[in-house]
Amino acid sequence: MSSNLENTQAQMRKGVLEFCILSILATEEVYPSDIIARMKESKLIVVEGTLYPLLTRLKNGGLLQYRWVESKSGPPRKYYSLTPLGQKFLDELHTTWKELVEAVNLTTKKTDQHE
Amino acid sequence: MNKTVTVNIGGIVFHIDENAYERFKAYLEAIRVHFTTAEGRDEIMQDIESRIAEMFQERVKDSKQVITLEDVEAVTTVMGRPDQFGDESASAKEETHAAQTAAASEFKGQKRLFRNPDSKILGGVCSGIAAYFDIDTVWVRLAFVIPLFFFGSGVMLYIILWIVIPEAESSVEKLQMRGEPVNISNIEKNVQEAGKPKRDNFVSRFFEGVGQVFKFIFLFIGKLIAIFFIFIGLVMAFAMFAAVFALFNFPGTHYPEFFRHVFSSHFQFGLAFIAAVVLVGIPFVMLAFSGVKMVFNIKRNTRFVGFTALGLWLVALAVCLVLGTQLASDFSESQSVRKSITLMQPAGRKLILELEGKKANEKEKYYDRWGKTEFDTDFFYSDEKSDLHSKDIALDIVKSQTDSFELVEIFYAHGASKKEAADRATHTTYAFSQIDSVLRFTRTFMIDRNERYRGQKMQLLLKVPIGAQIYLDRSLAGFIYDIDNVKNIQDEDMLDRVWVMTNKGLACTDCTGEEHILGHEEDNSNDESDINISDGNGQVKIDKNGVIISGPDDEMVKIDSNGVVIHKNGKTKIYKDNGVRISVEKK
Repeated sequence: MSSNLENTQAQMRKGVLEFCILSILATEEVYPSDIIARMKESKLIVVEGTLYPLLTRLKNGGLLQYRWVESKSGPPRKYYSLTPLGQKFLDELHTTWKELVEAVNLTTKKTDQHE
Repeated sequence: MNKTVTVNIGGIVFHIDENAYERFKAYLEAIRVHFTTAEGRDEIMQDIESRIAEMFQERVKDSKQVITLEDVEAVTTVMGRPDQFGDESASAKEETHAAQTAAASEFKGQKRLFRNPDSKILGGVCSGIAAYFDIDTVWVRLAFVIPLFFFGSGVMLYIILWIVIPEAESSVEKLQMRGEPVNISNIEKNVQEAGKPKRDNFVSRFFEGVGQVFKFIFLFIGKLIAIFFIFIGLVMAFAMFAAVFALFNFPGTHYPEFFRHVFSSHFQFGLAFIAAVVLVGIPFVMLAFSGVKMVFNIKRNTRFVGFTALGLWLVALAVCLVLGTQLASDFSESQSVRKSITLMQPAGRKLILELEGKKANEKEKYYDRWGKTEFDTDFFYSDEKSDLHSKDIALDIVKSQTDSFELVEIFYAHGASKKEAADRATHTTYAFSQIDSVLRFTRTFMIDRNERYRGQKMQLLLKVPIGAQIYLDRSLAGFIYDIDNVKNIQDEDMLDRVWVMTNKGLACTDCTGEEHILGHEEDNSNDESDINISDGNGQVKIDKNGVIISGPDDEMVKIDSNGVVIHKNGKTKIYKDNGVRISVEKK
């Protein structure tokens, strides 16, 4: 039972994870660590390892681009930003999210009233 | 105190404690396994490594330059264990690449046969098999050891399995060996366990002892073989060196001179010489080389050396074959040249035959049987610039058709064509001397110094008129060859006797009756009715079968109950029932 709950939670989080990452990237060009810091605040991401495969997949999907920036404290860093395709993708996610929130609110309210 | 390892993470060098390194390695391997099916795995790994490098960099200070286990743990906590990553790789694939994921999970549970390096006595074969069939190692070992005491057949099987089955080197392979799923917790567990020794009970300790003994015996035998290889290789190399040295440097040797008479040019001789040395030398050099490798346990890959040696050897073989074929073609035709010399007729019609005595310094200068080749003859030079002397010479004595003593010299030679062979045969000379009734032969004939050696040999025919006498001196031993005489006394016993030429051939005048007779020709000589005239030029033979007249170059006329057969220049004509009839009256 508990594993089912965890699984469902994980699935829900994962859905919004991509949306959140794209949103962060929409405002500025950022380095993965910055994304992680922001995400950790909101407890969407627990470990950094989650982020890298996600970024790679989005980049390969043409939603993200990156450039190399020299770093004083280690290897060169990848700074990510949205591509036009990514921007469009994000806009559509925004719409979907709004609809989803409304739908969820509506559904959960009704359920609440029933109980 | 802790040993450190130097690693390159994301292009930056770190010193890392050994135990921390082991943990870190296992961690990275676990991530790699986790992303086995993910697209762009290498890029993900690179990104993660770069980030880890950055985090390590933050933790290194001047006062603390080494990454410790603590650092690794802290960093892996931040980065997270692969099972915390979320099912990014799998979920992304699940819908689109279901088949691939299925293959991946199959891979994870797959059991493979490996040799177990963690629990081994010789090669870890038994423990590997035990792991594969999931039974206790002891039983597998017993199954190999017990037959050993009866017929020892398990040894070969074990060695074959040792060679064939790969060793489980990485953690993943070790998990596959045991059929455990390849995931992070198992890999980490495996890495942690790797350090701990597993010898626990008496039985395995016993087997370990037995294993050590066998290992020692195998190694010992191996080293003995290796030392033997080195020994053989070095002895042969030394022998070849000595041979080369002997060939070129010892005073009085004329091997190169002789070889120059065999080969067409200095270049060809040099080429053949080098090719022969390489051809014979390389196998022994490689033998010694592999021996050294075995004795000193050198594991370095020497395939390059091997291929180079093989290449050189093949080239040398090709050169030898080509030169050999060239030389062989020079021997393809044979021709002879005759030269008749009328001798001074000695007083009393008696000729004394001798062979010139050996010179004092001659002995050290010629070489007996320089090898069992088709020549099988002896050669020498009387001085540095002289012609090549050959001892391939024989004397025969026949009946003269005329009334005087005659000496016929027949020179034989080989060549690529009949003409070349005949030409070559004329480039030979023979010297003899006659003082009154003493005819003195020399032991050798000479091949012109500018001429190649192509199987030149010589036949001397002394024609003795009927009624004349000859005396064969003892010095002629080995010089006369198969001289026909009426009693068929063998050559050695013809020496030191006086012979008279009769109509039937040479007859002994002072034989004691103790001479050895050549058995197989006895019948012929006893047949009184036969007429057999032979002088080396030709032969006329009349017996109960018919008449045969044969010449020196294979010409022949044969008349018998079958008709007349004429054979000349390789052609044969047969006249049969053509008016010619031979009737033989039986006695």
